[in-house]
Amino acid sequence: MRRSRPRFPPWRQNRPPYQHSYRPPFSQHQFQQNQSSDVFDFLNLPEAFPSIKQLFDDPILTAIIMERIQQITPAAADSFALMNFGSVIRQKLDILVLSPSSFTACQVSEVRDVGSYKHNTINNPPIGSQIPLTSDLVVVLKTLPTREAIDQLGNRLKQDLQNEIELLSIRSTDYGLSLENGNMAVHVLLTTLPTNWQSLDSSLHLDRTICKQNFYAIKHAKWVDEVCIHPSNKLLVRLLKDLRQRFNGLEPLNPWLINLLAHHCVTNNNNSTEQLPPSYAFKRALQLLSSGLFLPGSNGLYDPINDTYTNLSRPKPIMTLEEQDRLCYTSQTLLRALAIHPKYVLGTENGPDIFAGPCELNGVMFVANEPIVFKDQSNGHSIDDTQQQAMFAEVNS
Amino acid sequence: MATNGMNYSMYNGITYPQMAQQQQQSFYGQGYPSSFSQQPIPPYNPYQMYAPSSIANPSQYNSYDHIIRSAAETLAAFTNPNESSVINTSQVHMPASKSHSSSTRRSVKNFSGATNPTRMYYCETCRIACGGHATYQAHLNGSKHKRKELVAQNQQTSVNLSSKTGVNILRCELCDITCTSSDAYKAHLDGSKHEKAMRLHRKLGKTIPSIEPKILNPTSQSTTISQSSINGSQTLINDDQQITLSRLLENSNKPIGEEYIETTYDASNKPVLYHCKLCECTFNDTKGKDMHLKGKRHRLSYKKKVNPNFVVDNNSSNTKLSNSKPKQMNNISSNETINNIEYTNMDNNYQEENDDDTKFLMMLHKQIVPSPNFLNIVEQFVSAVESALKSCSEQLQAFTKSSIDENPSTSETSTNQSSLMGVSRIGLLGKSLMIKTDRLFHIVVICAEWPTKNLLQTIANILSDNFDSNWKNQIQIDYQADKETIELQANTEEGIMYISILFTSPSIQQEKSEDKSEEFLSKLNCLNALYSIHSARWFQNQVSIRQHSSALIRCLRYKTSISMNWHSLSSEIIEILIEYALSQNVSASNAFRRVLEYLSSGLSLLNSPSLCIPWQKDSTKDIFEELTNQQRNDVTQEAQTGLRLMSFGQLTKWFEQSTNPQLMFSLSKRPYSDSDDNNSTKRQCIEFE
Repeated sequence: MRRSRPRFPPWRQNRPPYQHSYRPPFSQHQFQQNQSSDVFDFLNLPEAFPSIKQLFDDPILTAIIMERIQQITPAAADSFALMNFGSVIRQKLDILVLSPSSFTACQVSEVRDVGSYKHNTINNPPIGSQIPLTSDLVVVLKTLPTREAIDQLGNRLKQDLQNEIELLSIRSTDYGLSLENGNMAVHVLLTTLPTNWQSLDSSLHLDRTICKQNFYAIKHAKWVDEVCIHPSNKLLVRLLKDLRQRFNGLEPLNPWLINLLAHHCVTNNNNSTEQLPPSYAFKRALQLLSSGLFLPGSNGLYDPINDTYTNLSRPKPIMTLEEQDRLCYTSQTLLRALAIHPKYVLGTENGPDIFAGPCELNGVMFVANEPIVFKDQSNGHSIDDTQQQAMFAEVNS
Repeated sequence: MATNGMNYSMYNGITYPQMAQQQQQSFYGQGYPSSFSQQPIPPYNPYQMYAPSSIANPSQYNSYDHIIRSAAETLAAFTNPNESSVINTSQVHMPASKSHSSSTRRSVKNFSGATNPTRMYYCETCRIACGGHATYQAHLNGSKHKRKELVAQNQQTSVNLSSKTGVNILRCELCDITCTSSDAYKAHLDGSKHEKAMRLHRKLGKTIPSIEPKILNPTSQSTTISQSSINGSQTLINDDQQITLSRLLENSNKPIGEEYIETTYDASNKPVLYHCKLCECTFNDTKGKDMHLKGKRHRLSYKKKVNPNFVVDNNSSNTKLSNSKPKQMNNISSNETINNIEYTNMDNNYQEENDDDTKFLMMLHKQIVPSPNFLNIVEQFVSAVESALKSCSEQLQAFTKSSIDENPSTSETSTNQSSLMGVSRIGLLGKSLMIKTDRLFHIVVICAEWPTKNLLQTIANILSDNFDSNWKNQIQIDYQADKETIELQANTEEGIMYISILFTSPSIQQEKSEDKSEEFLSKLNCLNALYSIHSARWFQNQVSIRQHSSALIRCLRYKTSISMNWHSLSSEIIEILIEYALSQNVSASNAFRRVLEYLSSGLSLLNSPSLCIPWQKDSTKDIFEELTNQQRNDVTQEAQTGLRLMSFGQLTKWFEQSTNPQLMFSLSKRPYSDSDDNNSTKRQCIEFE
């Protein structure tokens, strides 16, 4: 039988263990962990909050949502073309997996589809922009992803695809490779096996955080594929992505968080299995964000991959304080605007830019919320002042 | 029997420490090296730890005393002192026993009284009487005695830490037993052990120490320690610390909730079993039951299950005792323990300080809560108005009676008019939610029938005559026909105060018709007044019992008074939200944050599921019904800003912001030409964009 090592050396056997010998300095994490709680949610407090109207289905909002979904869903032909483009590239990469000896620069372990195209939540790019429709692939290398290896891989793909696809351009990016074909694009996200992560050096290889991110994209994709199957869920993801595209303040909400949030809003219905309609779920998503879902002091959402709450995730918080504030005040402003002018928020009707300054929205004097935390705190106050003065001026006129 | 001793010591409680000590030293201390008398005192004296067996309180002992005693024992065992010396010792310990000190057991003697020819050997440490010299010797050499001696020695160096702040430890001198409560002490006095010891002592002819409990608390302890370690013999106890037994028993809690005790009787109708329904526990005898009824656990469960307003004195002595014991037992080195304790204490403080929001809210509350003087003036004003209304009612009644006499045909209508059923304080007065800036208060006059405008006019006319002479000059009365209220205005030390008197009648709820006719008050106003009475009642029953509720509501009300955006948020809405937040058992700052979350998530917005009013269960009225779309938007915006500020630890800013919106408001009223060039250029820039 194996005897465990004594916990203390002999001269310390009888000592009590040190208590509170080390107190970490006050940090954002500690603050969050001490007093974080779940954010207020109507649905989870039915007894404590006797509301009058049960607005599960909002016919007006539903009509607007459906209209918007029509606008942002890509046409079947586009979607088909993108699928073809993606599958050709996939084939070429699969050959590399099957016959590693044919390519010496790097060894490919596996290739997987990820992202919005795979989950059928891809949106049309905004009208007038140059951004193509994109599908994503993750390529896991057995070798380390050096810059040279990535370039070699790009060249090899270019050679292989030369005959099949015209107008092909290949660029290497932070995350790997980007292959474009006019109005379509395939992003090849490169990563390596987790055992290699320790030996990554950002001067030679891809950045470690990007490698991790790309690797987690596989896990996320698996989870989304398995769990987020309800059409209402997919619809909400589309809507939130569309919202994020139109309002810059929602930028901190990355695709994974959008998926988590959408899933939470649609399915987490107070222990009932019933899925919520998109109109209610959309409102709920904004309500949660507004009541500080990602602010310090709240748990955030449960992340099934990391097995923690998003706001408590370590070692690196998912957002900086400035981003938390930006996300929150943008969604708060949007929530208020939604109550007054839903068509504007959903993008089916044009209106004044509510974030530019005070404006009149359907007869209501509307003022966007102001940021509290700034990237550069010393700079912050001056911004604040000018904004306030701008507000005076607007009111005066 | 015991009262003799008690009285004796009570009235002769003067101590002669110096004398006793001197005599004793001259008698015993001669041939002994002085090193004996200086037991090393541990360096960590003030932080002395519990000895594992600290049932007996050791504070009376001290090292010096003990060494003397043990020396005396051996001396007594080897030499047979002559009669004079015996007398001498008895004289020595007479005053000592008066002083309630432990000096009775200091001198071991072979006491031979005139009535008792046989010699008795008595061991002071073990409190045992031995039949003869041989047995006494055997006892002294025995392991039991040695052990006791060792324990006594340990006790000297250690100080009972458990007797921390405010804990009274009662000690029976005779039996060397400590009790933590007066009840336990009383039970001990009645017990057989105590009686046995009494009998033995009386038989030996020893003075019986008073049954007055000795009360040990930290201040007395520290002084006794230092003194005894210097003087080496005496413990001094101040007179004020000698609490008489009777007073102690008076002080102890009165038994409560006796009606929750179920008694089971046996065949001969004798009670055999008591069962406390509140605490789910049983007792076999009356004493146990009585003790339980006075106990803290019972009182707490009484508070929890029967009467939530019942006050349980927050004496956490017992819990402290039990907590501190194991901690100290586990630790060997007392120095380390002290460090640990200090750290944990610091940590607790650290965590308390951590909650800046709570601290800030409480500080703010302190600033906005009205001064006692202000409250006093308001109270005087309101009660003056109330008494004036009462005499109005009497006057009206008298007037009606006379009118009945004069004109019986109109009696019906006039009786209707006369009766004012009562006055109720509503709003801030009824809920006592005033803050410093409040000047307008509301009271409701409840009439028997639907009040008429005529009645209001009459009351407004006769009201001033019914005031005290003091108030008559200060008060202006104004009948507001459009609002259907009577407004009173008074000049007081704290500025001008207003009281608005509303009129209503409970009979209006039953009325089906909308508005009766011109001469009656409008139904809406009357219903609103009734509504506020219900609201006040609901508040008193549901909200005010919750901890922190009033303070939090006052803070939020203060915000409504300083912020334009929140101006439309009525006190009722805040009360309801706070009630919901606090009903989930959260701390004050969390409840505050919750309220902000409610509003930020669009509770007040047009398309949200709104809240119903808790004191009107059947109605479907929305609490935000009266707000316009613009107000709803503004309220939400302000709460959203507040929530973010609170999340980022800048709650102070939210309450400071007050000036900006008001400034904005005043600026916006100014004509355009007034604004300076700087602003107009800025505006142009914005238009440009």
